[in-house]
Amino acid sequence: MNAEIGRLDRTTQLGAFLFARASGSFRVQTGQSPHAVLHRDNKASLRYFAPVGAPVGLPVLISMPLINTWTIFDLLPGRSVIERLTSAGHAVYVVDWGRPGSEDRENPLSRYVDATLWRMADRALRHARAQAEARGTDAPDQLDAIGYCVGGTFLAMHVARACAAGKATFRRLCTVATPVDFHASGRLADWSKPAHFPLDALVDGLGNYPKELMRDSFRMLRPTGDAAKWQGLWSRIEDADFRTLWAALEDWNADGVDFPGEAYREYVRRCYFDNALVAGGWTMDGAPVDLSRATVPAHAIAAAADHIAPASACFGLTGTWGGAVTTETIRGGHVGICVANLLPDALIAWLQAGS
Amino acid sequence: MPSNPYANPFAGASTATDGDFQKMQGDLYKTWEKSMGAWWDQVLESPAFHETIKTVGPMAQARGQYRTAMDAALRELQLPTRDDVVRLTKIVTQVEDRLLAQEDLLLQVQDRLISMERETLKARIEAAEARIAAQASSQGPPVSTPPVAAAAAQLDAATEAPATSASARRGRR
Repeated sequence: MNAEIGRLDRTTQLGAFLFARASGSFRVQTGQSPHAVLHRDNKASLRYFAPVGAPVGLPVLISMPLINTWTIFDLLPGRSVIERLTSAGHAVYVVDWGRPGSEDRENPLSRYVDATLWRMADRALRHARAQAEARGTDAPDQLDAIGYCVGGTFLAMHVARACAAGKATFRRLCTVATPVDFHASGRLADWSKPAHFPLDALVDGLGNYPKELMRDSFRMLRPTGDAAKWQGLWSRIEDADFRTLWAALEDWNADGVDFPGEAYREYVRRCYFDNALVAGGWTMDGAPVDLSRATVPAHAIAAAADHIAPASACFGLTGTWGGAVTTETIRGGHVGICVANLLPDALIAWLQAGS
Repeated sequence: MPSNPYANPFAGASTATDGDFQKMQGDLYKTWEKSMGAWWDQVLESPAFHETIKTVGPMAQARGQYRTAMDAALRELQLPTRDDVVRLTKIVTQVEDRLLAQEDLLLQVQDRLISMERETLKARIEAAEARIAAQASSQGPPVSTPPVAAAAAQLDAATEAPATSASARRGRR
């Protein structure tokens, strides 16, 4: 269908493209990189992407956001963070949170931050060791950890709690567009103030926080974003690759995931209301959530044009994280960085710096 | 007759000004976005807008009440409700959680066994080496047997004994 659209003139191309999208004949398959599902924990699964050639460095565990699908890191061939990492020789394990349902409404945040992430890291390390033994090489005893958006926030909490418990599962952490200082996250922080954000009414009334509400609130952060999207499509409609990318991003954006109710309540109350990752005073299952107890180094990557997790919020890791912190800003927006080359370049440089 | 039946018949006429037109479109868009963005900023950061966020709360509560009423009506009709399905799914999830906990325990036991096996082997090798060293120092170097072969034989003898006793233990069971 994409090739046929390419033979038309510009205006007709736009019409044909939109018609093909509306009729469902222009479909884009995301998450195409070959992989195996190693472990399932309720809705979550651990996906393994084998390295191309001999493995380089430690295996990498990637924690994706709970509120979207993992495929943003493997959107299309040539537009995939995972593909770039495996091509550079890194074994990649992705935590896909799946789609929580009504039965997950009462799951506490600790289920995701502690239990699931612990189990995923454990199974990833076991698998990596078994692979190394099969190859006859040295078995890795640690993982490098990467977290994107909320997945990064969960991972930072998990790594800090693991360090505090004396576990040496992780060698270091890299957060990508991950808010830590939530009071510095701009408009989203203003809207999420306890004075006017009806958190309890929303969770009590709706159960899980619906993906539609989440998507609309992100859209309202930048109301002209929709117009920019259409303007971008019009200006590059003749580019077949861009049409595919545009459609893939649209599909991914529409394919949100509900946030489990009680976990959402705790997340918003602690992170947005109390800014507890910076201010402290957060106890989860009897143990403190204290980033200063982390002992491993961390690298925070922020997107320069991010209106969801601005650099000021991401770099909150500096001053709160117990280990050494380095920061890096790359060009792009919150989602745009995942489909451009700068993010994989930065991640590969970070991974290979410590190999 | 154009070769492409879908081609724009006026395309040739406007070619000379296409670039200018597109640039103008781009400039117009940028101006529009800037002014609209500034207007939206005023709206979205105003206290009045913050007040409207509160209205989502009663709407969510109303939806919750509607769901409760719907469940009550279905229950009266002897039909399974959403809550019934959720309850069932929770039971399945709890069973899955228990299985995962058992899997964790099994893996931990496996880890311990592997580490015990390694420690036992290491201890056996150390014991065998000590015996070889002791024998070598008391008897002096053997005349007929090469030193490496003798050490290997000693190691075999030393490591065979516990293995035999282990198989004997298994046999007794």
